[in-house]
Amino acid sequence: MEISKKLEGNVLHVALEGRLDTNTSPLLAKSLDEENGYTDIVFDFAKLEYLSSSGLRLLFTCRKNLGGKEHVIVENSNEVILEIFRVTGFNNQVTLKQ
Amino acid sequence: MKKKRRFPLALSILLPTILAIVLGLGGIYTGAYFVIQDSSYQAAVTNDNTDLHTLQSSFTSDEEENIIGYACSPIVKKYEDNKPEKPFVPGSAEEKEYVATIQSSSFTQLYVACRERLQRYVTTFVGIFYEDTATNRFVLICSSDAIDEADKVDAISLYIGAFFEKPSYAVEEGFYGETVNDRHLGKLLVSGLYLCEVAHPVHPEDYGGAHRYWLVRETAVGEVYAAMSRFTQNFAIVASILLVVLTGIIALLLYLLIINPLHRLSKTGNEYVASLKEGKPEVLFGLSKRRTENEISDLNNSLYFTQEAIADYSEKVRQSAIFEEKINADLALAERIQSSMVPSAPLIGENFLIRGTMKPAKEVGGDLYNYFQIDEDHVGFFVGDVSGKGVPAALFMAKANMLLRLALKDLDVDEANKILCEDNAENFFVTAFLAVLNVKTGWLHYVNCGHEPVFLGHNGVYEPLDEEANLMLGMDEGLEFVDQKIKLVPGDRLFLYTDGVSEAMDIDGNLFGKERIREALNKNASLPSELSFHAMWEAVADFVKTAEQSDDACMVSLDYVRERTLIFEATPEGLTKVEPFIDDFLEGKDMAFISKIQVIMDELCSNVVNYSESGDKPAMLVLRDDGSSVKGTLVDHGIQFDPLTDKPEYDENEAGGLGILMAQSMLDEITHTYVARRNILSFRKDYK
Repeated sequence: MEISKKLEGNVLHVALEGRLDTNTSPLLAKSLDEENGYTDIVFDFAKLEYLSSSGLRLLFTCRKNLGGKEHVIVENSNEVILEIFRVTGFNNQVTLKQ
Repeated sequence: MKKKRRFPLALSILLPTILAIVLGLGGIYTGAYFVIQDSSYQAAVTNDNTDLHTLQSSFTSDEEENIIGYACSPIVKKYEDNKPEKPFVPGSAEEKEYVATIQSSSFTQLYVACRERLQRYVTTFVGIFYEDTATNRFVLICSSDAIDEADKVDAISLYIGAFFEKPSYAVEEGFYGETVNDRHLGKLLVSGLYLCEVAHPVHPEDYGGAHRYWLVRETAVGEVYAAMSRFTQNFAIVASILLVVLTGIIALLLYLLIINPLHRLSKTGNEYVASLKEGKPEVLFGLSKRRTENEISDLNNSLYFTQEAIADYSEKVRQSAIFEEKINADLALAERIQSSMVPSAPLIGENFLIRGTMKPAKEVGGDLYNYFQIDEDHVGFFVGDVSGKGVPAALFMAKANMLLRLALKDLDVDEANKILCEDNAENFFVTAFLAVLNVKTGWLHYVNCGHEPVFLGHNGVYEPLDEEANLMLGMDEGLEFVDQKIKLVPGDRLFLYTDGVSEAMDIDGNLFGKERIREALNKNASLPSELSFHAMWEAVADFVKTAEQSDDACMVSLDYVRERTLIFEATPEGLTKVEPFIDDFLEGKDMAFISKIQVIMDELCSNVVNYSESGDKPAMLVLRDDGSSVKGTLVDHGIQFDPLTDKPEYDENEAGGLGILMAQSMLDEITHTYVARRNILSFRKDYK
């Protein structure tokens, strides 16, 4: 999985490419820990194939840390990811944008 | 066990021998003692039945008494003229001097008379005494004793005139049978004891009976006593020596003839046993072969023959052990050869999988199965069962295996049957089910030669395959076998088995039966074939319980489906193998479908890795693609755990239990079973 990060003001832009699953989510967690000084985070899932529950837990952690779903924005999710959000109810835990 | 006290035979003989000697000697000497003690008394009563008068009248006559009286008178007169006051000390000088004074010329006449009677009565002593009534003394006038002495005059004179007090038993009529003990009455022989045979008072008439004389005959009972004592003592000594020698000889003979040979025999036996233990039995002849025949030599011979018999027997046992070892080695080799005749690995094609398993009842068995790729489009397989079991069945099985392999290519078993009928002196036969699958079309050609019915599983439900009843192979060489065909659809499974499965017997003789096979197949229809075999063995084991496996058993299954298996460590590292495995299996499929399967597998597999506690036992993921759906089975050896019912409640704030929820939501079917100590998650996702 490829992780691209860019901090613009208070907003951290994270673009993921590949698969966010049990094997790769620890890498993302570690990568996010390196960053600070942001109040909002924007995930670009355009090149992400899918994410599993370990990825969902990362989003959940971000939401808790940043204080609400309006601070966690997920963009460009594919059909599979959207289904995953839907079946787990996560579409209400983060802010989805296309 | 209490050790018995050892008491050697030699000691057993020695003790009675010593006891016999002691008792024998004691007896002899006690007897001798009493003999010696009694002898004087016996002698004393010898003459009990003789009366005094008879004794006296035989001893002397009146005429003789007068002669004696006459001869005595001068000596008596000298005594009376010069009578000593008291007796002299015997043998003293005074005595000798006194005796010389009273000797007389008539002494010789008296001596002759005494000697004559001594010889006549064969006795010890004959003496003539003068009774001095004034002093109440008995005075010795003459005796027969002097004849024994070398110097006669001195010896005779020694006793003449010697006197002693008149004994109280010297009564008027005389006496006999009294014992007297006085040196003047005779020699002291052993004890000085004399027996008076007869004492006869004489009153010669010539002198008006003024003087009285006593004629006395005595036997030296001391001498008799001594003789008897000497005899008894000698007898006792000789008897003792004889007793000791004879007893010793008997004991020695006992030792030489019995105890020593027995000891040597026992030693021989021990040596033989020792040589036997070293593995080189040396037959020993314990006693000399020149020995004469007796019970001991019989024992020796029987010991010798026993040794020979044991040596022969142990050699036979050894040979038999070598032989058995060789047979066992051969059997083990045969088992390996037979095992190598049947495929141990599954045959996995693009869209099929054939798997077999076998459990021989003995080292080698009569069951057989085989499968192989015939050409690009065809795969063949068969299951067979040779009548009987063990080595003979295995030999026939080897032959049948080769023939059936050849027959499989064009499913022509007529020729194989013909060859099996030839050279079949023992009338073996083999049941077999043979089939060829066209993997492209799914057409299955098959022929059942007297074999157990085959089950076909379609959509998870098993039914017996429609089969023509053909005879077994090897029975009748002229037979033509009818083959059939059926078109399989992806996902179908064929289950073949031998009667070792269907006729597995419990201890009451009940058979497992085809219906239980079908039940087990239906119950485990979703399991991969390997696990369904495990489940079937388990079902059979549950049924037969402690009963011993009675027959060879084998199972073969054909899955007409694309199936792949991944074995992975139940660790985070092992988990990284899952993703590429799925990509590979689903290559070319819809990307979204692949992603969903990946997510599902990530959830299920990470669940196993994190919670199953499988230790070092690997997990297994099997995926099957039957064209309309992907079916999967996830197996772990961890603790029994059903994530579908035991999952933690999904909590939006903690995001726990998310994974299983996601998997369940995205799958069309998921079930959990616990079979053969394995957690088995079976799931299906349709392509739609």
